[in-house]
This record gives sequence, structure tokens and C-alpha cells, in this order.
Amino acid sequence: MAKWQAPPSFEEYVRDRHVELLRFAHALTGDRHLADDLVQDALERTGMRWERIRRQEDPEGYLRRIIVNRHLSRWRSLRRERLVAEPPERSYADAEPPDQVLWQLLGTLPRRQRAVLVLRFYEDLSEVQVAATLGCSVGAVKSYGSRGMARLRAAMAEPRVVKDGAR
Amino acid sequence: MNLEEDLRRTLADERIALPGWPDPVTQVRDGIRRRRRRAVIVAALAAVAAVAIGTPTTLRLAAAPGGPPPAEPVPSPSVIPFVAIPTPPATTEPSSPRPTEAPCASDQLGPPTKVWSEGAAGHTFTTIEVRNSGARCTLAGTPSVVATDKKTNRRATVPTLPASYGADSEGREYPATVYPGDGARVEIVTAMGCAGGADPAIYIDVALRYAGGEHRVDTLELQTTCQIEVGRWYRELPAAATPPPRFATLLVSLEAPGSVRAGTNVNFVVVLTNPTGEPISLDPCPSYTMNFGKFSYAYGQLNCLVDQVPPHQSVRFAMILPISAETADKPDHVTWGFLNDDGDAPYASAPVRLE
Repeated sequence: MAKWQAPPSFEEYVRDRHVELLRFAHALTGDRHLADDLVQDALERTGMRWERIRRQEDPEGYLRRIIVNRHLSRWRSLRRERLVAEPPERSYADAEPPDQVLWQLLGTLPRRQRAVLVLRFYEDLSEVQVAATLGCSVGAVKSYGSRGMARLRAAMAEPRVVKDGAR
Repeated sequence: MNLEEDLRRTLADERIALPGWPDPVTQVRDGIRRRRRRAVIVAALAAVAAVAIGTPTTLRLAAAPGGPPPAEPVPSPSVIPFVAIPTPPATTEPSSPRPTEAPCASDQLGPPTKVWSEGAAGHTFTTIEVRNSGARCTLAGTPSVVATDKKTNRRATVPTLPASYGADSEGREYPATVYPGDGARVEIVTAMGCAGGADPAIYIDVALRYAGGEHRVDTLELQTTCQIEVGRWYRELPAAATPPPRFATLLVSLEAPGSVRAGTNVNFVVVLTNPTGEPISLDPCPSYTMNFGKFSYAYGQLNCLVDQVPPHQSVRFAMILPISAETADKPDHVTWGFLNDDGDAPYASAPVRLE
């Protein structure tokens, strides 16, 4: 079997966009290492069918869909199957979001609610676009979003509880 | 500043950014090579198993791009003919609200009652779902909560507040008009952040009182230091289900001619093989995409004359792809795959030489 060679446009895309994808995955998961895994997995899947994806749709949207859906449905198996030749040597110690309370509270939301909020308020997607990304109805997106916001709002009203009891 | 702005600001902050990989292209390329090696091994094993149980002898694996040109496929009478069926539009959910019915009576709501709780930062959101076992009826407004205070052992109506969250949430219909078998839901919020950390009130033998009667939720115990909040009865609108990864286990292979001329059609056969012991449904009929290089591609829906791929068997579909006269990208293989996949839907390629 011939060794797979990345098309030049895919190499360029990976170089240009992987940092932004990492950031998106980090916002989605709150976990730096999981974000690494998800982006690696998504780029591998995308690379295997790059020409088709590039021609048929927006690659960024395709990648977002893979990252979100892999995170929501099967990231556990993903973690099992990921092969890392060398452990990363980077430290993440300096990265702390500004509003630590809100960042922590995002981590208490169910994954689907958090995904909706990240797609809406980080990626600035419309509800229709979020529904397409998640593969669910617009009604479900609205429901997840409003429930997530309600929980954040309720929790923000009790900062003392957040400090002591955030999960 | 409101919560939405806070969220945008938090998520947009540069400190959420992660450092880039030292050599991203090599890292991803190596991962793809590993995947390809695994896929070839799995496909080979599956093909061996399929041949062993009597699938058509014309089935063969999709060769890797750049491999030797294949022999002409052997014609088979079992190929489902090609029909150019356009990809169906995405479906949208109906959203007309149900008309209000007579109030639900307590004897028609009932067991089983489902109760579940979710917690977030000191708050507990308890959802109670009652099921309608009678005729169509409506639960409207906010129920009152009647319970026994465990400290005093007195049973009384518990003072509550209207829920300050989730009111008029999308995805819910108010009031809850429930047809036979449907569930109506209400949410109760308790919290432990009030009264300066005093011992919480504990309520047992909880019942919901509403216009048509009272519904006991014996399994529920409420603990709170804050005043309990109660939402309105609602019906959860059915969300369109996430498409199941039902094709993920299908194996796709192609029987393609060795060569094709620009400006003509390439006729090939898609073989869907079910390596599992369970049938894989083709209803609703899946959509696909196929291409030969950058300029020749098509979308469509399978000609689903069969509604499933039986266990350990294959179904074969004829495909016709018009080849563009534009071939500057020098394509050397035809690719076919399921459309709207999430990254897991199978696809296959086969080498086709451009004459």
C-alpha cells in the first residue's frame, strides 16, 4: 500500500487552522488534553477525504461537526484508540480564563448544553447552524440553550455556593 | 453586563487558546497512515469472512490509489439498477401547538411516575414526569407542593416561588396537553446556598396538587435551605433524533472498470456488505456522494429496492457517474461514500485510469 501523502492544500489547512480548532475544542470540553485528542482525531478523519470535503462543503464546518459529535457521543472510545507516539512536552499551566467562575460553571453543564452555548456564543452560529452541527432539531437546540443559560444564571446568583461547591 | 456578554467574553479570551503543535502536518499525516493500515486489515478480514459464507465472488476490496489497475468486474444479475434520485431535503419538525383539552384528573395520571435530578453548583433541578393513561387532557399552571416536614412531622402545603429559570423555554410546550401515553413534566428547584449554611429543611411524602387532583411522588425527598421554586407543567417537544450511526458498520467496496474516457460515464458497482449478525436497515433510504477527481461528482439517494442489508450478506448497487471533460486534476480513482456522515460513515475508492 502506498504511503499516504497529505495534499498540499490539506497541509496548509492543518498548519493554518489547527490552533483555532484546538481553542474551539478547549472551549467545548474544558479539557486541554481532550481538546488535543479531538482535534487530532477530526483532522485525521478529514484528511482521509480531504478532496471531497473541500469541494463539497466548508471544511471548518465539517471539522466542527466531527469534533462536537465525537465529543458528545463517543469520546471515551476515542481516547482508547488514540495512539500518541510521543507524549506532549507542553505545559498548560499559564492558561486560565479570565472569568474563572463562569468557566468553572460551564464545566458543570451537561455536555450537550455546553456544546450549544459554545457554538452559539463562541462560534456565533445561528440556532439553525447549531442544529445542523449537532444533528438535532432547532427546538432541541433552543431547549438545550435555554436550560444551560438558566443553570448558569441560577448558579451565578449564588457566587458563594459556586466557590465552595462547583463540581 | 449580561450573561450572554459574559459568556462571549469568557470564551473569546486569549487565555483559552492552546499552544499549537510543534509539527502539526507530520502529526496528522502519521495518524492518517495508522488509520489506513488498520482499515485495510479490517476490510481484508471482513472480506475473507464474507467470501467464506458465500457472498458473490465478484466482491473485491477497494484498492488504494496508485495500486495496480483492477480487472474488469464480472457482471452479476443481482445488481440493483441505477436510478438518478435526488438527495431529499432535510426534514424539519412540525411545531403546531396542541389545543387545550379538559384538565387531567388524578386517576388518569399514573404510575409510573419518573423522577430525576440534575445538579449544578449547589442547585438541584428535579424533574417529575407523570404519564397520561386516560383520554387527552391538559395540565396547566404551576402545581402546589404538599409534603411532610421531616423535622416537625407536619404535613402542609410547602411555600414555593415560581421558577425563576427556564420559563417559556423553547423545546417545551405550555400548558402540557397530553395524549394517551404522553408524559407531562414539571421541575422543582432546591438549593443549599441560603440561610447561612443552616440545616436544610427536608420534605418527604411529596405530592403535587393541581386543578384536577393530587399526584403523590413518594420516592421524592426534597432538601433545601432556599425557598423551593416550582415551574409550570409542560410537555417536552420531541426533538429530531440524532441520526444513528447505522451505516458505520457497513463495509463498502467498489467494482469499477479499469479505465474511463473524459466526457463519458463511468459505470461501477457499490457493494454494501453487512459483516454483523443483525440486519442493517436501508429505511429511510440513505444518500450518497461520488466523485472522480475534482470536476466529476454527484449526489443522490440509493435506489432502495431492498429495505435492508441482511446479516452477513451484501447488496450491490449500480452507479453511473458522468465524467467531466475537464480533467486537469488528473483523477485516478473513483470514490463513493454515504452523505451526511459524522466522520464515521464508510466510503471506498477504486482505481480508474483516465484514458
